[in-house]
Amino acid sequence: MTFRQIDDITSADIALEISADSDGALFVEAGAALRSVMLEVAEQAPGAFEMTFEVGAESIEALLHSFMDELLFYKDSDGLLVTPRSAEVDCDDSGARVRCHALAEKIDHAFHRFIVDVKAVTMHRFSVRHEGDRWTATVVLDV
Amino acid sequence: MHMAKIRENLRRISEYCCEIPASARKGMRVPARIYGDDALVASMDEAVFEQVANVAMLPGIRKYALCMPDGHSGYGFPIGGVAAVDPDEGGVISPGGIGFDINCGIRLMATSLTLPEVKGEIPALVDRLFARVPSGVGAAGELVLKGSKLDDAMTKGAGWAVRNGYGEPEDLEYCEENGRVDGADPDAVSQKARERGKNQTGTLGSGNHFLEIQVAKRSGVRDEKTARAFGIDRDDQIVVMIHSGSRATGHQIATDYLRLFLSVQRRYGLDLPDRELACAPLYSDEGRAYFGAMNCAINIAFLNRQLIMHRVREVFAEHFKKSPRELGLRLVYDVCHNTAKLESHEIDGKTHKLLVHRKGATRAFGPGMRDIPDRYRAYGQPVIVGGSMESGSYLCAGTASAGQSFFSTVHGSGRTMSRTQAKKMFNGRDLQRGLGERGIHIRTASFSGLAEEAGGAYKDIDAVVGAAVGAGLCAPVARLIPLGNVKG
Repeated sequence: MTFRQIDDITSADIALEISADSDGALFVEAGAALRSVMLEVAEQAPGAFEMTFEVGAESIEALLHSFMDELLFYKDSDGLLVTPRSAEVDCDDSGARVRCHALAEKIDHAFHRFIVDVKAVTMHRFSVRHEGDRWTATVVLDV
Repeated sequence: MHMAKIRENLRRISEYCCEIPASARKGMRVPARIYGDDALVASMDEAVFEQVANVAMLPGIRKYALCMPDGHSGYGFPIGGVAAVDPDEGGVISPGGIGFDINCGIRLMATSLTLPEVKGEIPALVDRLFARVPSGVGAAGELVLKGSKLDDAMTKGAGWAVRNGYGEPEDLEYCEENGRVDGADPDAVSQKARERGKNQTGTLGSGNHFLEIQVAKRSGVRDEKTARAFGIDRDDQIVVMIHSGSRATGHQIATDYLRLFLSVQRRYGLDLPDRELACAPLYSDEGRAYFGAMNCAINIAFLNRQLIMHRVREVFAEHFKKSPRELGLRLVYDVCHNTAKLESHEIDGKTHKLLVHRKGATRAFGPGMRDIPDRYRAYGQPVIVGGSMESGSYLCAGTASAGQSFFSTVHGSGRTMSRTQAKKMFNGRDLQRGLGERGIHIRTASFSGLAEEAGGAYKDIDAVVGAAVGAGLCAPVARLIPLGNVKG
């Protein structure tokens, strides 16, 4: 697990620091962090299926925000918990794109024990940093 | 360069109010005022003062950036933040001054039941409510709102529910804005927002959302005349409180426009210290679009609480085998917490049309003001202050002296502890057991979530309401004691 909750940023919401050794891995970890904030158990429900989706944005920072927002969208619109397995990120002068391979599970209250719902990914202190061989993001979730 | 802590500039100007002068930080256009006595202000974390100082930098802000006594740190605005901006003076609208849960709010229902009549019934009643009112993550309501039906709901709010058989026409009279705001523009709502919230109307949600059966004990009534006018008219009267918002529709609308404002704000020369304060002039294409979309979410939240109240009426009717009318199940009032509304306010003897952002704050119109139901006008607007499931809540009334805060007051207890700290400190199942022993029956969709909402994670509601009353922001009417709670 390469994410941790930070306690001194907000009392009402949940702040996370997520890190990984590549940009793609950072997106996968961000998905795992989101899941761990919402769910008590890490196991996948039976019947999980593979899916692929793409998101684009003007920068890698905006891309991570849109990517996490997309995961929340699947949860609310389709009742799906989408957990990224791998992600390929492309950035150039025209913008950034991520192609994500994920496992999707239908929310099943007999199986999934929720802690709290995440309403949104805020822009408060939101950042993506690349230092040496480490990618790090700070994310505050509205719950 | 080291930036001094803004808190060091705080000076007390009265027993219940402190001020940070506009000179404390470059960019502040007005002073920031934080309401609370010494203990409450001392309990606020540093981010509250940073955030309210940032709010003071909003273009068009008038008089003060404000933080209510239940203030705690959020994003953009602190929770409990209030700012009135003048759109004619370049005043901006900011999603961070409203929150993602647009029109999160509270409604209070009165009943003709009394504690002796329901005492043994509370566990069964709470169980029935838990079964009938969808709560928690992934819960879907009975209605699916799409296409033109959704457009209609977004413009008509609680009225849509009443017209479709979910309530009584008189319910609308007892909602802030009569349960629907003008200016809703469904064309400004993205397909994504429409799709994301389509199954969620009529659901409670999670986090601090709740549905609670309470008792107004005679000993807790602070103003008998006003309590009677509001419908609290018998000893040990049972009431029901509903706390929920616009659900995923509102969350996505806020997200969509936060992104849009971040991309256009420089074009308007706007550069604020927190990206969650991203904004646009209200009188700009983007500002108007967000205002139109936000008003849709405000109406969806009114509709949501109306649908939940309808289910509560059904459950009580089934349980007691009497009609809702026989059980006296009437709406006392419905208040909004997270909105930006165009209101008329007097500044230095002149009336201005201002856009009042309230994020975790309640409108509190004083006696005689328009927009208060006729039955209540002489007493002031009912203000419902939702406390924790352990400590209780308050029914208050608006006051003339709340003009100082653009007629705004507290909305709840306010957190003192982060969610992580609360989970370390409390255990959800132990909490449920302990509260049960004290006669408070809890049903929850999440025991971890329950621990995060423990009473010990919140400020003392009596101190918070005491400070609001001391500052003249509202007047106490009745203290409400929890008996049973459905936690989202």
